[in-house]
Amino acid sequence: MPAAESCWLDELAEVALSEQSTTAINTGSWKSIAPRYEDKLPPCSELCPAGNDISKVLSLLAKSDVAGAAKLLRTTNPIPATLGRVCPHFCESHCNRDALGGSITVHMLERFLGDYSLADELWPSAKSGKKVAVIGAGPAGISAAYALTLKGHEVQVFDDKPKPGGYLRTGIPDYRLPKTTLDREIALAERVGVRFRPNTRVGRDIAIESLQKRFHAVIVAVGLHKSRALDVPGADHSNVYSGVELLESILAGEAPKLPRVVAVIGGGNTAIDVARSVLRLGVKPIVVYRRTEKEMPAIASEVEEAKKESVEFQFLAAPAQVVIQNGNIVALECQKMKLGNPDSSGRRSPVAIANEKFRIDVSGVIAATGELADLSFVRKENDHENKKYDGYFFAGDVATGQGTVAAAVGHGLQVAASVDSYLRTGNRPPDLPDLRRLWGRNVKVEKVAAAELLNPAYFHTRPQPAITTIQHGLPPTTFDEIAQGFDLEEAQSEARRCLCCGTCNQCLNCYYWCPDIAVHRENGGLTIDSMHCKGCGICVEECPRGAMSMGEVLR
Amino acid sequence: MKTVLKGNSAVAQAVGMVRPQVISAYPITPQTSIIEELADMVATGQLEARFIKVESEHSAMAGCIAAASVGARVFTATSSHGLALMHEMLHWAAAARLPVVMVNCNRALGPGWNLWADHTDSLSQRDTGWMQIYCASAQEVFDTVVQAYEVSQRTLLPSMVMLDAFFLSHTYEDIDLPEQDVVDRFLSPFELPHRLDLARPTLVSPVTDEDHYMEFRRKIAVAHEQALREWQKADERWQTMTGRSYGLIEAYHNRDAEIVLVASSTIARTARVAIDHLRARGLPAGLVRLRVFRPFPAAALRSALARKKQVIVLDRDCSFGHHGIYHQEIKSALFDAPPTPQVQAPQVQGVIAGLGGRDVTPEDISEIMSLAWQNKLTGPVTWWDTLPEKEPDSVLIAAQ
Repeated sequence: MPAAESCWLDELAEVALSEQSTTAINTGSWKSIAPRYEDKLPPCSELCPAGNDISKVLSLLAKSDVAGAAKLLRTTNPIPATLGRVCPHFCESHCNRDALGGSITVHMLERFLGDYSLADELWPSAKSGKKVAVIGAGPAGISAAYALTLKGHEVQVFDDKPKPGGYLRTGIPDYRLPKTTLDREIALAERVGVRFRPNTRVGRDIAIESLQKRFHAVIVAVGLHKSRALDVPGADHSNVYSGVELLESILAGEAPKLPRVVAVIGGGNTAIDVARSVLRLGVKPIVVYRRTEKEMPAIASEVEEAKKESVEFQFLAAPAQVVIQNGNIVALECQKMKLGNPDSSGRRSPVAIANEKFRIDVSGVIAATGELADLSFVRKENDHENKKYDGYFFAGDVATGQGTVAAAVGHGLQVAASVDSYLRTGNRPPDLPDLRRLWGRNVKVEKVAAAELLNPAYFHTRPQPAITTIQHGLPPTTFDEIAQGFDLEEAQSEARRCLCCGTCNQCLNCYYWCPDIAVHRENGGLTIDSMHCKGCGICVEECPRGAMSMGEVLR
Repeated sequence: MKTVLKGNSAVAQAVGMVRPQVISAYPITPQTSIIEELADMVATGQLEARFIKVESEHSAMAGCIAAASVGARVFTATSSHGLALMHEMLHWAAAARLPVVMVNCNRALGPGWNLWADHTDSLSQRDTGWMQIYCASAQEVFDTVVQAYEVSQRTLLPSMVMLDAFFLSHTYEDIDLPEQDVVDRFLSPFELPHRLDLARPTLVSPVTDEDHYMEFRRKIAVAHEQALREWQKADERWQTMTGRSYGLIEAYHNRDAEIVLVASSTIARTARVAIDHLRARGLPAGLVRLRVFRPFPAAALRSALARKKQVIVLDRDCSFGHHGIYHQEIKSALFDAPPTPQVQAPQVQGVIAGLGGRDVTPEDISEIMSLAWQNKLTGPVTWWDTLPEKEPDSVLIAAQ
């Protein structure tokens, strides 16, 4: 080869090198499909009646931002310390973590953050100048008042009891919910700006018409407090009690002297709560239910604990007569039942077996067969058709009858959003909003991040942590709280087990995997540079939690 | 240290001693035990390297390319279909001028699934820009792997070191392992001039159009020319340090031979026995073993073969539609040595034998050479041992 050329070749590097960027070449312009960030609804939030943003809260907790997690939880949940204790945690029933060591103990984390955030403060938005009256200081009333106060409205909550809390205070025993916890949550609602008006019964101390005049909107959230009366011979005996009233007097420390053995009639939470409460007062309760354990509406874990505490159960039995001799109750005569065809609730209905009766020896009877609303103070009492007429908004059990604190809280929040819209626009929205659309972040609520959307390669089995419980004797003798909470370390470790289904937690897999360096970290978030993304889909495939989706590029 | 090792273990021992920083590999018979032994060394801490388990040979080479691009010393091993799958990345490694060293166990390609020795796999990669060296013993495998790192570093060309499936990969032979410090002293310090460096952000191998592309290709050609000298230098230095060298080609009884067999790898070792036998019968036979195939040692081959009467090239491969690959290459080398009034160009004939691991015995080679000497090999190419009288295997009769 000629010497000159050899020289020129020697001066050339071994490979072509360039100091220019290739970003000028828009390699992404040919793609027909493209990835996008799309948060989906985790199964827990899909099932949460209070619509809590669970995965987001847990991801903050997992990143040690305890204050941030507590604050986010408090924005959509006025009573997390309470709900963490009393909710049957629907959220845990379809948790994707279940197959990998057991579902996340969401209720324990809710409780932890609730207890933590009792010292926390939220600030309402600017004053709207509108006033709202809420009748009933139970979970629905507190939620509606809390949410509306945060929206800048002035809210007063009227309740006939000396202290706010409604059924949380009068119906849930201390071993499940210490009243100090409830007091602190109510104090926090007050600090946010909710004004409670205790000892004020609407219809007795103040007329509802007067509230309508003085307030721009009135929310009725009085719950279900009237026990359904026992309709059998002998039910008017003085040792036949209303479950709701008895619980209230026990919780107030004014329990009457009770007979030694009592039949508790019913299969709901009131029946279980009253049975476990009288057990602690030295009484022997026998729960009498007309179907089997499987059909009981009570929270299954509560039934389990009741059995552990030596509460007895008599299934497939309906009360027929309270047997009285010499003025004293001596037995409950029961009709023997069997299960028939499913009823409208899907549960198999009880059917009497002809001529099959038997007696249970008891000296008292507690009726806990369901509760009714007392709407005598509202015009056109119990008229469901009129529950939506202008001026009144019905919230919680009185409107839905769903019977859980979480459902009451969720409905209260929904009604509050509806009232807020009404106060701002003058128009009442025809439907209640989906709470998940109020999270303030972009979530495709129609899509649930079920297991098949997750990438199992990134998740390993990690066992569910044990929950410490304290057994107070057998039968128990105190009303001290049974389940103990997590400490900070336990809570964070548990939050880190959360798969964060459908929720981007900035794990950065997409950022690291993108072969075209088309995923950018900008302003604390992730963006896709569409001019250089070729639509290969690796980011979507490698997203551990289904928080990305592919879609056609529309030109 | 004298010991007994199979060919694959000789590779693993050599790689262990050259201290690679990254091994990126995928298993395939009969190579697998090489990377298994290396994985063990890494797992036990005997070798401080990153072992990357990949999902294919294409990725194995991509991993080597990436690691070599930041200046790491890398290794991989493969065989047959694995090598074929790497094809695209082989071009890349060479044109990106990365000193990757790879061992290939020469094995037949399917269909007609076959695990046994055959050279078509590596010879199909002849034009990728890699250097190719074919070994005949476990000791040579060890020595060549070490030499390959030195030559690759000096030329910035990747090396492919070949050993025959099973005949060498799984055959135990005596071998002398040098001390670690011999290998350490043998290998020169190295820094890749165009390595990726965060301190000097550079785009390596951008779009290179007609203004420059050809120049970079020409540099590869020049590097290959220089590599012949580098292989000789490395071989000579290795000899001063260990007493062993191999040359670009190995000649056996060639000086006064009139008929010369050209072969490579293990068949060339078998052929020595046949040459001894033929010599004893008075036939002036010799042997040339082709060791370094790329860069092609044309001058050395010319001087070894140009004055012979007959050259028989034995191919364990075939370029279908033409002849055996070595056969073509030898002819091309001799075409540059035109006959003079004193010297006739040799007659060059090809024999294709031993495909898919079929045994090529000393008797086969003696017979081939005897027939050739008697001018009884007709035509330019003979397919050895696929004669009509051979009994077909009843299992494989498909024609019926």
